[in-house]
Amino acid sequence: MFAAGVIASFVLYLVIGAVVGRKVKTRSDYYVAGRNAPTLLVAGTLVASFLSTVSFMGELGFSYDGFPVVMLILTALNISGYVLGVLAFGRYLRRSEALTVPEFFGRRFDSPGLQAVAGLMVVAGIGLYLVAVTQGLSLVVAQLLDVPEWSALVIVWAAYTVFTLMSGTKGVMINDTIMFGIFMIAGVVGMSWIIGEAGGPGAAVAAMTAIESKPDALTWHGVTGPGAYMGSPTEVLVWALTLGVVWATVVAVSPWQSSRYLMARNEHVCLRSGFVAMGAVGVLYVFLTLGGFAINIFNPDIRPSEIAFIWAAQNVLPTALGVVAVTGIVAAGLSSAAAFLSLIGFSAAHDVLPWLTRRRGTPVDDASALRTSRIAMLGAGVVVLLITFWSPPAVLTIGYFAATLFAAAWGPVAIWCIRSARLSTRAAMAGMIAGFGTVAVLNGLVEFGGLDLPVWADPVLIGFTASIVATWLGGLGRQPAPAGVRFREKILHTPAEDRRPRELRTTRTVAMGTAGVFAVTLVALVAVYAVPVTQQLGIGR
Amino acid sequence: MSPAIAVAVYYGLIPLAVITVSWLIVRRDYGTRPEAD
Repeated sequence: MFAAGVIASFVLYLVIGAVVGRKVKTRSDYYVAGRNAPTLLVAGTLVASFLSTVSFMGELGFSYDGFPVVMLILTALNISGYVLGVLAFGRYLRRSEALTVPEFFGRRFDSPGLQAVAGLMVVAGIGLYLVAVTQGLSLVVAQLLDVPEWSALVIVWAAYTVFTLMSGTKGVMINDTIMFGIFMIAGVVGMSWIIGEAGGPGAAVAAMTAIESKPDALTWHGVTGPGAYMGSPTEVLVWALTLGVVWATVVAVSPWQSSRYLMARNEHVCLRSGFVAMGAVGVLYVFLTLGGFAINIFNPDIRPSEIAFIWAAQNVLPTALGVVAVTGIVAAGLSSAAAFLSLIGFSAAHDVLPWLTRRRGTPVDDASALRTSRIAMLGAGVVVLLITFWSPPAVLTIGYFAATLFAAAWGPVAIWCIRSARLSTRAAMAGMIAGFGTVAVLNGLVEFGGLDLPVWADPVLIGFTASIVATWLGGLGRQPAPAGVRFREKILHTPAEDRRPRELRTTRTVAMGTAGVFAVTLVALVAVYAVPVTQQLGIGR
Repeated sequence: MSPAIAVAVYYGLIPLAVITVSWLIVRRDYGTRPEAD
């Protein structure tokens, strides 16, 4: 049954790719889905590109290890990046009518070189993230189909590569939205069932606080004792708040999130999608974190912890729901993988190759551009396949490594270039390279070179600082490019068609609906988590 | 207030505060009719 669920997701995926791919005619169709997507599709692809095996395996495993509340502290800040990000960057990106985010930077600073550098960052950074997602997917598929991991890797890779080559962005969006529905059901219903099987919220909290191998896991700082690999309570809290801000920046400016706004029908669609994504991820993470830790009630010794949800799907949930849960995990991974591979291909073909081959400015017909994009995707896909084959499994570590690269490299420059007209091309180039390089080198040394940094000196914090300082230093004595300044003035103007009262009323309804979701979440968390935990552990913890 | 209740309130209030501030910005930027230009 589980194997059938996985195969069904692959078949559905490829059918969507084939059907939608037949309608792709132009670069606009292939890159930004004709810029005509409604709120449901933009919100669906925002959430589906964000949630992947890093969430359902890496972060759920982290919660299972004894840090569910720490993950929630991080998530509250992380999801805020959706709404703040669209206001600070996403809506201007859409107004630019660029085909890729690096193209936006290239035009903002009137520099094809900067566009190429940003494009190279997309290829390298998202390529690495794709390695993490592919690793997670092959781990799941190997476990469920009972095949060796190398063959699971080839199956997974072939599925998302063929899909992406065929369908382009429209297929990715439709597929993402369907997958979004599947994994929301998988997360919310699956985890609710696990809590129900444990006797309901009250009994589950009592059982969770009694797990001897993971004491204090339901407190704000997570597990204490031998399993406390995150350090002291203060270090854990600083880590959660820091990474919360970093992930908020990731959802605001990273290419796999902000580029989704390029496909929106109008700016209100961008705003509403930000609100919907914030609500959906916020609700889902309550279930994934607390439900993820609740799996300990049934088995506290699942190794590696990344497969905790898959173990629960096979051993705790009823078969039908287990199949939906597993399909949801595979769906989350496949949809992110397709979005990532498409972005790599677009950037390689549109941002990097024209600069390398010195053909920038030369008009290229749509058929030839589509062919180049597909060849670039295939090439990048083969490189990702080879790296995944030889790298050790570390879904959460590699995923966080790659995602935080963009927070430091693009975060400060993206916000700064909207706020200020004075930023020069050299300043932006210096800021991007310093942020990317600092995080890459320091994270590499921490993960592979044995470097031990205190929690307040997280590589991404140093990278942020390096990016800001380099941007400031790089701008000394330089004037901004006149064409870049004109471009900024143009995108600062709110289009008349987005100032219609009717559109604003609908956006208000969506904002109020999201606020209502969080008001209910607050009350529910107090009732089913906070009060029972306080009763079990006492008022001081 | 126990830390557990503080976390629950934090998880609800941070997004509510962000939504409120964002809505005020949206109303400022998109609330003027086009003909007012």
